[in-house]
Amino acid sequence: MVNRSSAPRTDLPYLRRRIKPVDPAAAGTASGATDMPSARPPVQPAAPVQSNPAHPAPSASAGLSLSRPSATPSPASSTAPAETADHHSGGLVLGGSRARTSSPAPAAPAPSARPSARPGGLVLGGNTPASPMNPRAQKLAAQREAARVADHEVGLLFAAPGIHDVYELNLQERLLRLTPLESAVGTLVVVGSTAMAWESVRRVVGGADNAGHTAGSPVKTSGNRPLVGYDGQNALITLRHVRELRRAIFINRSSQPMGVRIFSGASVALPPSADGTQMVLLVHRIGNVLELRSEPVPESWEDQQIWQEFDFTMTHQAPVAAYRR
Amino acid sequence: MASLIAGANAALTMENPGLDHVVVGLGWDAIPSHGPAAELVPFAVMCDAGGQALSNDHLVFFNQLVSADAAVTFAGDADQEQIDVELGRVPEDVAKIVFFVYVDPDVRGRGSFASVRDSHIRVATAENRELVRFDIPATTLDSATAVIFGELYRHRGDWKFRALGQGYSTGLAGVAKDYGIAL
Repeated sequence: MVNRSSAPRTDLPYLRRRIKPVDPAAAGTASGATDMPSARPPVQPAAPVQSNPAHPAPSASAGLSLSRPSATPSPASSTAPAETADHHSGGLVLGGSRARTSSPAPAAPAPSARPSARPGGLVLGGNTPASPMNPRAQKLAAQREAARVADHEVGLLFAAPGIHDVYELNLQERLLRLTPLESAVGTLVVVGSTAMAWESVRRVVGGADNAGHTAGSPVKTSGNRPLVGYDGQNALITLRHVRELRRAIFINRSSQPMGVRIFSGASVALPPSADGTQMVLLVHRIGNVLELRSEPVPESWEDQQIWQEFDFTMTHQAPVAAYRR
Repeated sequence: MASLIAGANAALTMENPGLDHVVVGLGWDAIPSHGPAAELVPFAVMCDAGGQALSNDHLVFFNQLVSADAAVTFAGDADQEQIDVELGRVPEDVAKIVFFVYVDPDVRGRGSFASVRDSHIRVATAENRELVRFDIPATTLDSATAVIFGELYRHRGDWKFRALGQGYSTGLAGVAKDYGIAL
């Protein structure tokens, strides 16, 4: 009565087992069978299981099976293999679904959507399909996800002018944002700065001034150039490796304005100190764009005090001898 | 696998029915240097029928990993740069996708392709089965600071690949001017 009320589905191999003759007495003595609703449609339990690839219905041919074939499979166990998994504690399971035929499984529709139907541990002979993602596809998917996250991050930013829209960054015009292409081509040149500090995405922090003094740790790039550093009197950011930069700060102690120039030739200026206030340039990378900010600080502050204010804590390289111990 | 010469083209989708996803690999060997080295940057630009970039959202490189329509994805790594193209997702108004490599214009000395040898571009399936390959002769590129390696283009409803190997002495700025890229 359970499995033969409709035409058998010969196109689905796992349903063929259900047309075996069933001894009503055996069905009645199966544990939990008395709770089985007699009017339950026979094929309904299995259908959603098949439709869900994450929890495919067990079949006799799927996976490694070390169990002995059941001599008298009970209809209850054959219709609800996933339900019996609730009783597994989540360890190593050998034998897949057929080993469960002797367990006193309550007969109920196969709960394909129940997360508890999946054992938590290693399952040999289970029915989990192999991942369709090969390594190259996984890498591509990771790249897409990274780009999506970066785009999402940039999409959350409020609107800001570009470098072509701003002549000077000051107390009124505090910020501008470069495009992804502007943020990535050539070198960002800061003219007129007297000291700077940088922080990489790996939290390597260092500083330098235009007199050649350095602090913290440099960040070298694969092109044998520093990520941020002085070249003569100009401070430079190597934009080919902008993805390694987290932020940088540029300080101007001179009486001349500080200027920023990018590959296209576009530039922006920052005014020198005035009225006891100096403007420092803060360059932040947000996703795939660079943001340039002017931040006012008291003119009396030393460089170290400014670094401290903006939380640039110099990292120190361990001496080579430390690795030889 | 077919090996092309400069100017030659190869039918991709016509000769490979069902092909809807290709991997364009760009590779080169640079002469090692202990000093500042020329840094090569692979780049893809999606162009309209007039040969101009649709917008700056239709550029794909290391700082813009996916095009606006998600048809072209940068999948570069340390030893070989790859750009994936899902042909079926490329918008109809994209007539061709141009692949070039420029030397990063660093103010401390940009370098040129003189330090590059054995550069190539190859088109493979998603399973990495090589369809066509173009080995770029290095002798003509010593003074070049950007090189158009090749292009995928539509032809009567199919996709074809053309090998180019065209050098620019004006670098990225020259390529940007020709293809309408806003720097």
